[in-house]
Amino acid sequence: MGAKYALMLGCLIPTRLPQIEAACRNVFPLLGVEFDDSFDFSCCPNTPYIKPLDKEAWLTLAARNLSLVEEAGLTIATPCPGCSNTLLEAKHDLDHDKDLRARINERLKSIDKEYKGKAKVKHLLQVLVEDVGIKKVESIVKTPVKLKIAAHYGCHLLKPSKVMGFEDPFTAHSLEDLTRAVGGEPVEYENRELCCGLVLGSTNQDGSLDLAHRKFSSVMAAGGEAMVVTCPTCFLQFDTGQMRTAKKYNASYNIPVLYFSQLIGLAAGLTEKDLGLNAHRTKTTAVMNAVKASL
Amino acid sequence: MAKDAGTEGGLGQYSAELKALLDAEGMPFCYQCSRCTSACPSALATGTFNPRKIILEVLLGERPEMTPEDTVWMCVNCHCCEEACPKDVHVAGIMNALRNEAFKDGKAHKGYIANAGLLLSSGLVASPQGTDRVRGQVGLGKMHMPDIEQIRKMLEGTRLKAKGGGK
Repeated sequence: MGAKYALMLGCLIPTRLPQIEAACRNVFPLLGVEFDDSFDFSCCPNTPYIKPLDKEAWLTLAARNLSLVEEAGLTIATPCPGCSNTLLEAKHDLDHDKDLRARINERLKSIDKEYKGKAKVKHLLQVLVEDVGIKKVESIVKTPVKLKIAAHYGCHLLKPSKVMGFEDPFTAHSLEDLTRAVGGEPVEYENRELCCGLVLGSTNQDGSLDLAHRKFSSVMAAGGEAMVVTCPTCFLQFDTGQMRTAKKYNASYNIPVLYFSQLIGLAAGLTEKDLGLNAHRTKTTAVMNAVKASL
Repeated sequence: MAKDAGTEGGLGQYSAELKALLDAEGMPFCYQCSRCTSACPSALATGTFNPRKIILEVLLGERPEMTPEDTVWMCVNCHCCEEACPKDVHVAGIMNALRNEAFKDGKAHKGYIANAGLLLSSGLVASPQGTDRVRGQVGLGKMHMPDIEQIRKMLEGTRLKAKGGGK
């Protein structure tokens, strides 16, 4: 019997990056985590674009998503830090301001919902660290991933730290711990905490690629052979955007990018198809070779 | 001479709604140390976005009217500034308050409006078109689409619904 969570996939993962969804659905049951898919979640809605336009509407949609699981008493688990960030920030606002909560609940009343403040929210990495335990990953490793791996935590998984309540953004180590658990070697690199830059691309494309270039260059300088991420936005920037960045900077990075559940799945002996590696834009050959070498 | 924040000029000249938002985000406590800008990835990458300067201009009442081209739209809400701020000023919250006000005046950046349009059309900020094929490639079936009528109903009368576009 595993622990059950309400799975909230968000927008980017089911539409553009289903490889991340596939990897989570195939890997987490191996760790005793079950997903309940019966909730009608919408966009969280996303912090970078919707909150700057209309905070009231942003809170209303977030409150609806939170209210959906309150009766079932399940914790919302999401593979997207944008979702966990929005829901936890909205929860923080609604739980600290009675007038605001009453106003938002007036809106929810029109669809027979109410926000009561009981919902819990965790990103899937937080589920892994706090509820499953990284030790458990070691017990399912069949083919160690003997690579030097650069951890990229991204912004919203950990910040604002007072609201997110997970690891300290400057001293986080769960991805490095996970890397060791699957038989890899974490690499220390400059710019580890730097933002991936994808969102900046909608207002300043040069700036967005500048940030990506800084990341790739730092990972390469430190001898990183792959990157591990926790966020679909970062994944898009580093996997899909890698070729475009390389072209602009006349560089050749060739750094495979893995979502953290894909890294676990590789070590657990799942296939490329189970983990959706066939849908990556940046080749994952180096990663597959490392796995095959440990067979 | 700097005008006194919160009285005549300065914050006093802003709409009651914006002033309340700025107050709630702790703006009056800013003492211009610039740790926000030093920690900001958008400032690093563009050289033009400067949250410290924006806060100063707003405090002094010397900030020009917002436009869709304003640098404030380069804030990506990463919260790096807030981790760095010694006075607990919600820097990203201030950037959001300014943008909420600009959206009210029809001065939002088009990239943001595009996301709002997607949200109001499907309940997601991504187009569901063509997803079956991509999902099939990795062995997944059709995805769940949220109840868009419920979403529209509860957003009735919001600025987002009125000005966000979409179907």
